[in-house]
Amino acid sequence: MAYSEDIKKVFRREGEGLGGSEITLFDRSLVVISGHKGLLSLTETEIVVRLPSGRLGIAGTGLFVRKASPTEIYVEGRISALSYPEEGDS
Amino acid sequence: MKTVFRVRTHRVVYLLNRLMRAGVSVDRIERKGDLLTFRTSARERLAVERVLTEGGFDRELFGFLGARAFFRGLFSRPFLAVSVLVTLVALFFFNGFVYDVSIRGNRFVNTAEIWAVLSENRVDGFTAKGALDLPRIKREIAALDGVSFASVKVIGTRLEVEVKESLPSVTPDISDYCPISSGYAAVVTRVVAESGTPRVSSGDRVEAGDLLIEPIYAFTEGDAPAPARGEVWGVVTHSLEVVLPAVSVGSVRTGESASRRSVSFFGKSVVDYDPPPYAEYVCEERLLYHGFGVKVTERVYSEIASRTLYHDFDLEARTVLLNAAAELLLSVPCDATPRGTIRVTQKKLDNILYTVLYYTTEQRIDSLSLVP
Repeated sequence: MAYSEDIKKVFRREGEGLGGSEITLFDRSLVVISGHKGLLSLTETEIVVRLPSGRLGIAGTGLFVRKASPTEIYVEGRISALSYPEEGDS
Repeated sequence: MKTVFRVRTHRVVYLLNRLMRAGVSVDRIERKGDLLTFRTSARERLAVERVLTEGGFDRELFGFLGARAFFRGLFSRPFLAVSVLVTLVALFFFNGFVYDVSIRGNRFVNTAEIWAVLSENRVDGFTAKGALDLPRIKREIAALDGVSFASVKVIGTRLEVEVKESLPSVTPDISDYCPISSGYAAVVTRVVAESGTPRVSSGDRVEAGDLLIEPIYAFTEGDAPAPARGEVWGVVTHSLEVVLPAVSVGSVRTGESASRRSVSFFGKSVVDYDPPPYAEYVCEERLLYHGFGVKVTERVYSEIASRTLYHDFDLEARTVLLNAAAELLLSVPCDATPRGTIRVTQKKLDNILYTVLYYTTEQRIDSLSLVP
């Protein structure tokens, strides 16, 4: 991302990485997840993506993956929530 | 270049994860029931196929995008390939011919004349381009009367002929430069010369054919042509002489007559006229019926024969005089002003009756007045 250096400055993390993954949300209808480790589940109401730091749950309606590449996943739909469920959660 | 895959599976997450793990990027993912459609670059197509084969997925490769993929798809269907090949050959073949001709720019030069030149050069609606001698066609069209420039070129399968016509030449009206002469023997009373030089004046006596107005204008440096226009009036004495001998030979009707009919149907003769029944005859033709393509005409033949005619001057003198007067008046122009009445001299001499009539008028005598 172009603004990642600015972000590092704000959080005073110059010379360090920002983390294993990056999630960008556009107006609750588009989500781009970078640095993922694959999909865990895919339904119209919930998509779970595996991240280096755990799992990312995307809840909503009419959800679907429009593009999937080894580094990024593009999700489209009406998004109602992003969550980090624990390993034991269903 | 893109390849579209359609895979029948309910293990969508598994498949996408396998693809991503294999380093493949897919987009335009759509899912309808258990049918998953996605697109990938041609570069990654083999990797996708390998993943699908290893995973045992039922797939269909139904779309090719890009030139190489197009030809691969084309030659995998022999009928389509043959059709395309035939079409290409036909296009190449027909492109070698000219089968449309456009002629433009001619207003006064007849299109048929240009077509005649084209026909002589074997341009007949379906001509091989190689057989066309464009410079020659151009030369021959430019040589036509009234054409100053011609352009001939082939655009696609059309032969375009464009002509530029010569400007119409301005030639003086010869009648303007004709002299005005006298049409009668007369004594001139008025000369009104609008243009040109008058050669007579009032009181002059002229004969028929004498010059009245000459088509020149006298400048200081010399004469120059100028249209002769104007009117010349004069007093003309019209005369007519009629001679009637006491004995003459003439043709008279014998009273015998016969008719013959002709019938035609849409211009084609069905019944033709029989030959005339008399050696000497007068024929009168009249239309009896014309309609629905049928035309019926009739010829009435009246027999004539030569007879010796004996004239009684005492009885016929007046009739001869009246007929002669009528004939004389017919020869006088309508706009003539009479100067007195008709004067008559009638006398018998050696069994011949001479009748002479004179009629004097004032009228236009110039030759222009004789032109209808």
